[in-house]
Amino acid sequence: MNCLKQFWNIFREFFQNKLNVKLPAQVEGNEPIGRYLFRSSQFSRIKLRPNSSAFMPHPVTLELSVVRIVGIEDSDIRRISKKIIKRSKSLEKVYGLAEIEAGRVQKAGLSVLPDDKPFLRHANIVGWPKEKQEQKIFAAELAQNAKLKLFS
Amino acid sequence: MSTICCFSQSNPFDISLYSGVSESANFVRQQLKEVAATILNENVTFGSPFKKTLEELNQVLEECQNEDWDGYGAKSVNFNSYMEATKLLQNFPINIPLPEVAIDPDGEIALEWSAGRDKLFSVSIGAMKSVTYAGIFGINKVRGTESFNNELPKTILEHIQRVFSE
Repeated sequence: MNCLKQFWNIFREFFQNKLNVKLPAQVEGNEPIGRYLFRSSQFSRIKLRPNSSAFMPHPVTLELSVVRIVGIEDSDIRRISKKIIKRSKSLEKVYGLAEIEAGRVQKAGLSVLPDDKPFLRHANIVGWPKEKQEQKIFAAELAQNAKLKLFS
Repeated sequence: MSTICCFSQSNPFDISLYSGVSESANFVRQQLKEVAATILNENVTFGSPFKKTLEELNQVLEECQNEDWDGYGAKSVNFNSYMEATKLLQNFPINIPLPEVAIDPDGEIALEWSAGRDKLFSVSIGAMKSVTYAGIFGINKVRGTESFNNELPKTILEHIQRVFSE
């Protein structure tokens, strides 16, 4: 039993360290990033694609929160989402992740800015126009190029 | 007698927009109303797609009634936007595929149509009877704002049809 506990601790530490690895300050074009989907209305289960609303920026800050998922497993991605849920009062579960290459975001005319806040590997997609109709076009482009990864 | 036929999702025999005022036009109108009432009462499946979308809309309302429903600080669902969306869906043309219902971080209800990778059209329903739309049709992009009065504006309907055209 002790042996099993020790193994578990080493195993857990290994993965925690992996999540704590400091990533480069610049996001490369081929780096995958993801947008957590905490509501079923943010994606289509039938068409297996995220909705463009899932990629709309915050109306005030004009930022879109994403997570840098390079080099980590699905279980790590879920672990980060659990931290977000724990912090929030309104979230109960994570449905999945809308994954997109940073290069696609840059090609659309937006930028990915890592800030590691409120958690390590956090970044914002910035450079959004103020007009909603323009934001919708960008969001639609991101949704079209994103892959849906469902957790449950 | 020439009339404009406008089928709606909630009542495909809604002939309130018929322009005829003659006695025979009134007769046709009355007959259609009776047929519509019979079909809508007897055929449950007829109204089910609309019901399903309305259920989705209600689910969105329930899920997103609190701030930060997306974990990123989104505003709670705008109730006026919800009401306007309900009205629009009730008057939805029956020949248009029903949309997926979502909500934007500013609290507006969004309706989205997509076909394949290259065609996507999305409208956000504002509380003040206006819709903001954007669409991608291959290499072409459209965006804009339209005001409405309980029915989707013609421009919007044309773009939705474009999603499903060859």
